[in-house]
Amino acid sequence: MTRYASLAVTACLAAVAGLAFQRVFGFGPVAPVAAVAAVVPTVLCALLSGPRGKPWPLWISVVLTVVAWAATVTLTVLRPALGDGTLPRTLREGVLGSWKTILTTLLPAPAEPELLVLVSLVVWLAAFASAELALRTALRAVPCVPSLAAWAVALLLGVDGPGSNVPLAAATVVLIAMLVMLRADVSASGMAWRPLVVGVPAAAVLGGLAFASGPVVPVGAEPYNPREQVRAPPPQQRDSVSPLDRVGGWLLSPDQVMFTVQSRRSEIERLAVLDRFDGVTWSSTARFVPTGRRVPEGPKPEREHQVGQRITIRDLPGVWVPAADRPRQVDGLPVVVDPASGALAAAQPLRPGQAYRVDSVVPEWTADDLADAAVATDAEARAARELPWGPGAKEPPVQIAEFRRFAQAATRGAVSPIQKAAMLAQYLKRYARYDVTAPPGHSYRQLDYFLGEGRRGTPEHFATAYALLARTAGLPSRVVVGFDGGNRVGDTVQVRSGDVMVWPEVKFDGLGWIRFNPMPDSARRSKNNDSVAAGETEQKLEEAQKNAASQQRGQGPGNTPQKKAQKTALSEEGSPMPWWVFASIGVAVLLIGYVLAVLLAPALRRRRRRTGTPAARVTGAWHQALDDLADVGLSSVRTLTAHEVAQFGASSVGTDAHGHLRPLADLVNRSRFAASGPAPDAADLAWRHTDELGRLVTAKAGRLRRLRRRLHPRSLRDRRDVTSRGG
Amino acid sequence: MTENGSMDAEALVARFAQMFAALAGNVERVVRGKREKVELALVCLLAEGHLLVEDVPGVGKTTLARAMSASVDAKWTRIQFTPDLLPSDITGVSIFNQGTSAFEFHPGPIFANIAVADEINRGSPKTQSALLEVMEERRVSVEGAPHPVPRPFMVIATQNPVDMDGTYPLPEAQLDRFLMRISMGYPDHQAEVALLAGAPTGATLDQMPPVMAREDLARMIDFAQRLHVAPPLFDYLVRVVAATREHPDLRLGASPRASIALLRAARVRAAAAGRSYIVPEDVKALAVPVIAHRLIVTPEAELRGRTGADVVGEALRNVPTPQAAGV
Repeated sequence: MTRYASLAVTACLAAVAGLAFQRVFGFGPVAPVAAVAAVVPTVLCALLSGPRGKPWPLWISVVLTVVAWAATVTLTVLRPALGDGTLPRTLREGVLGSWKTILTTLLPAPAEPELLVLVSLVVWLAAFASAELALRTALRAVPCVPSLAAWAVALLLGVDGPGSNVPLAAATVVLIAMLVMLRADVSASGMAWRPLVVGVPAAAVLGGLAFASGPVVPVGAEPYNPREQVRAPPPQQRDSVSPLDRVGGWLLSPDQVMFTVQSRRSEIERLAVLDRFDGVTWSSTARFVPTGRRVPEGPKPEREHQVGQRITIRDLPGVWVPAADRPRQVDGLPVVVDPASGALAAAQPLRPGQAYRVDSVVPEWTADDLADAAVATDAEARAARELPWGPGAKEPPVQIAEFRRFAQAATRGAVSPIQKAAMLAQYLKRYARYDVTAPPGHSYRQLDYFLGEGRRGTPEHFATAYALLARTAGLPSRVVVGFDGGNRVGDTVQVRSGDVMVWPEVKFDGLGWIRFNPMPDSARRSKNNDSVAAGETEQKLEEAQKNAASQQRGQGPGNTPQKKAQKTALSEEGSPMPWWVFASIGVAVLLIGYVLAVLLAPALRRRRRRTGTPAARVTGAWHQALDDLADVGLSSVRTLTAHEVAQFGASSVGTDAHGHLRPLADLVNRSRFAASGPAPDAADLAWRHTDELGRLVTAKAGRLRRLRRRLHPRSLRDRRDVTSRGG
Repeated sequence: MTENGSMDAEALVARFAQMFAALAGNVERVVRGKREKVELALVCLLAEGHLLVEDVPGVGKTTLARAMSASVDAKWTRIQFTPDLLPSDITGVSIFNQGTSAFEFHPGPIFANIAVADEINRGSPKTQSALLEVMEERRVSVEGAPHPVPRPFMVIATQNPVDMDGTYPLPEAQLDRFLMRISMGYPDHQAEVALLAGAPTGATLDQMPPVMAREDLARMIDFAQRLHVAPPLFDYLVRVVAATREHPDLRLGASPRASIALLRAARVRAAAAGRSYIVPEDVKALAVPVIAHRLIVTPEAELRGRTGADVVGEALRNVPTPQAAGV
């Protein structure tokens, strides 16, 4: 009976370890796979264990479980591959290559059969090994080791995934405790119900404590992330034509419906992020990685709002997937994502009719946020300040110096990066006209013409000119192509080619990339009358930028707002925790530690007392009996003989207790004072008497009184220390 | 002790316990309701000690002595102590034999296995002191010649603590030679009723069959003194005895002879209980009868009603017992 109960627990342990893969795939796909992979090998091992507890040879068990796994995984996880004839390849990919795919995929990974094979394999192995260990060894806790190994695999693969495994970890704690208690006496024929009755609630409390305390345990360092050791796939040319090159054409035929958006709120849809300029063209350095649906978070703004959009592709070409910045989750379309920028691309070129839902979190910046922002200095920002000479150029283009002078003139008087960036945008707004017929192109020469003679251009010109001017002024910049506005038809906004927008972004430390609008206001007015108004977010951002710039203009360096901002930042990031928090945590830790100690110490003592030589076990039985009698008032045995203690037990507990105490006293006297030591069966007999006495004392004293005594500090003291002083 | 040796000891000690129980049962046929006292007296006998029975007349002191000697098929004698009793009346005298022209020793009544010294405190100090040598050295020296007494040898002395007129209290040296002092006490109601009911037909001393030969008794004595004593028990025993030497209520504490006596008695008690080893219970059970009579309480304590038994009891309550599970 104990064997089968142990097998049930090992199966549960393996299943819970399998559920820990939920951070990789989510609960839905993992649950049935883990359940099947945990139960089937356990049942198989139970059947092979034989009715008398003598299992078959291990090699037979191994062969059968391999066959069983192959059959089970074929009929369950790989059933789709069974039909199209790709079973061998999928199985091989699943066993050998799925871990690589998972590590190079943003979690949650898609629940593809070849990936779920790994879950099935790991859980199956864990369940099989646990069951075999439970059947073939007498060690209590060893059968949980394979499941812990499966846990380790799940943790490593899911370290970057969404969700939490804390409840599963708590469940594992409880199950391990149950397993240890169940296997406390494997030689016994029947189930050890008593330790279970006491231990399972205690284990549940432990699990609850683990569940409650797990999230608040301070973490000294980020967990090891194997993804950092995995080489990401090389960047791929996603589209032969840069979206920036399409802008001119789209603006000239503005009525082409690119896609429709169903959303309660109008937002700018970002299409492509172009961060590298080679002197002639802007391109993307995005390192796209596959994702199931999740997009990693970007910088965390103080204020943000969530937007849910359902987008249906109409005539939008290429692979770039429009979405409000910054997307968090994409459903309905297989996409790859650039973790740095959050830009989305489809695995295959978009087709009309494709629809997907994208949930985004749009940051909201205020003047206070921007006022004291410093320019970012990280590697990405350094790359975004580069001004290449151009393909094949031997010397820097002369336009760069002119651009620098232009930027200096535009930003004269600016004392902060945000002021410089805002002044540059305002300057361009006033400096040039919006003209969709302007010749496209954004090389140094073409932008020189735009800034020098032409002074008219499309968003392509304004944005790229701003980006280059910003770089000459020391601001890290990039160019983003997207869509702004559209025609509302019922609940749906039709985004047309004429709504295309290009804007520059500047990276600030702690804030990330901030959009600027160097376009003249006439650009909006030139759109059709049925265009939806510019997004509220965009308006707020422009207003904030203006306010931030005006704040800076009136104050010099070292002004009060800066100090205020520094103070705010300090209070938010580095403010010392109040002393009472530390004190409370300390008291709570002490209390929990004390309760655990007073509850565990007697149990550990009892366990220790049951081990050793027969004499030591008899001694342990006597000490345990004295501990039990303490519950009915036995205070000190310093001057009492064993039979006097037995007399006390008879008077306190009853004659039944004397029936156990008297022979126990004889045994312990013999063990201590006779010339020859006791035999092993004498030790067993002593413990039987002690166990019976414990039950009688429990019945007499009541559990409440015993618990009260257990919580007393003297529970921590070993009676042996006391008695040894006396004798 | 080897395993075989241990098994032999277990078998022998079981036989010891069986014979002890038979002996006690036989004595109890005539000394009813006094099982505990009978066992103490037998412990004293098997420890080769001497017993002082102190009680009022008519409670069975002499009967106990006679029953014990009858039970072991031993020679016993009774010496009635009176003030005019001479030492030679106890030890014996040398008389000139005209036929052989030599002095011949005529042993006195002390030459018996069990000598009952009735009302010993009525004897003169000179006569009482005649017992000193024979009680300790188990021999009598008459005119320079030693005359050993038979083995086993035991003196059972009785005295009446109430009627003290014309008596000579035993000196400390004399008391110290008694291994044990017991008090018979009155029988309880039930035992006394049974005594009366069985009086006409009950067992009489003359009809008591011996249940043990003298040789068996000697073997039992030797066996008991070979019992194992765990080292902590030596320490405990000495602590108990030493506690009396430092007690403020005592003018004289127990001597090392008391420690030896207590150990011997404890060994016999353990064997009688079927054990081949001594436990603290043996020491505790025998401490008062073995030690108390050797103590001299200060006059102040005596006025407060303190006795030697009280002091020994206090020592037992204060001296830590070697714990059964003290390993």
